[in-house]
Amino acid sequence: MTKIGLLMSGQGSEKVGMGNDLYQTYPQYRAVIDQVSAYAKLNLPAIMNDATLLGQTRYAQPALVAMSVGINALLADADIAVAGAIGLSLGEYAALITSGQLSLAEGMPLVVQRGALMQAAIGDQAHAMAAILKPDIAQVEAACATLQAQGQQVSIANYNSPQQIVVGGTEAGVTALLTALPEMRALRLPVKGAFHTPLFEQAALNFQTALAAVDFQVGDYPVISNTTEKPFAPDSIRTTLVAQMAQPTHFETGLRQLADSGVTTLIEVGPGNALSKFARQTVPNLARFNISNADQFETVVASLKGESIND
Amino acid sequence: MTKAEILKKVQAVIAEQLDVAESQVVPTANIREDLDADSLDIFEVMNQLEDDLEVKLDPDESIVTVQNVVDYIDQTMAK
Repeated sequence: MTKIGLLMSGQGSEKVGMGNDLYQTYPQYRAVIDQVSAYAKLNLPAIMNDATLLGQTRYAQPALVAMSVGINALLADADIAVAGAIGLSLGEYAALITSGQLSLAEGMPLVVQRGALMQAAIGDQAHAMAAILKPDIAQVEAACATLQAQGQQVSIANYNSPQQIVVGGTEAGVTALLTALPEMRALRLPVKGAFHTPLFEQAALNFQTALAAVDFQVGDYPVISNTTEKPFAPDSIRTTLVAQMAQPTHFETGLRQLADSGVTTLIEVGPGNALSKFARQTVPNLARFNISNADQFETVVASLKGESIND
Repeated sequence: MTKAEILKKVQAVIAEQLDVAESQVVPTANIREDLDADSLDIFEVMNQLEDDLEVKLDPDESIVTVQNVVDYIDQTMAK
């Protein structure tokens, strides 16, 4: 039997024009984006079509959550039932909203505030990140620890798949790590900030106040946290979301847990397909789809409906 | 390895890494524009080809089309 897990895009997947054809084709999608815009107090359709605005963390983050929530509304309208979800970093907010753990009305202002705090934390500091392919994780962790002891800021920020991790820190810290391990296959990434590293500890503390004012409910399905590697739980969700900003993401673990829970089919919702690639590298036996546009949405619905008729 | 064999390998690796159908990975395809790859995708493809073909490739080599990758590997192997 088909059991669906959703993958919600994180920052870095935004693209100018994201979701435009969905917005033009589906009134339900348009209604969600317009509703989200109102809650976020932002003109999201304009942001999604402006490279300068979309290049800023404070605007990119609500735009991405809006698109994922909008596509999820289309899936719900098509009666596609979801068994579990994971999001990469920011994508966790879309997952918490669509699972019903966080309301759109409270969630969107929270996402806007988080983006603004993160952007402010970067300020004009030089942060850097680099992807490392086929990493020897123990070796990278040891090298980071050695450099940290020397006062450098560098650590593993994302455990994305067995094939890929991302390290982040100050420009000096990342350069020192890449110099210390020259045989590593590393590629510097064009990023705004070294998210999920201790460079965001102060921003995370500042985010506590905003979180304290928000209500969380028990959701319709589990969302597995990048930070704790367990499903979000109402009593610890605020602590987890604070920790999330400055601690590494474990997307690989989330993918394995979805598979272990019996999920057979993954649908990535958002502008890109980066998460599907991590899924292919981590849980290759699961079926994969991604929805960034109307054609892909129709393909997914046709294929899932076709399957259920044959079941 | 003949160029045809290299092409077959390159097509398989690109299809796998980019999660696209092998039929889309034609020699004239522009890897970034037609196959929607970013710099990290191309880096992953070149690294996988290094491992599979046991050849040392320069990650800074400028690559646009699938045929460019095949030619570059062919030249590198001939050295």
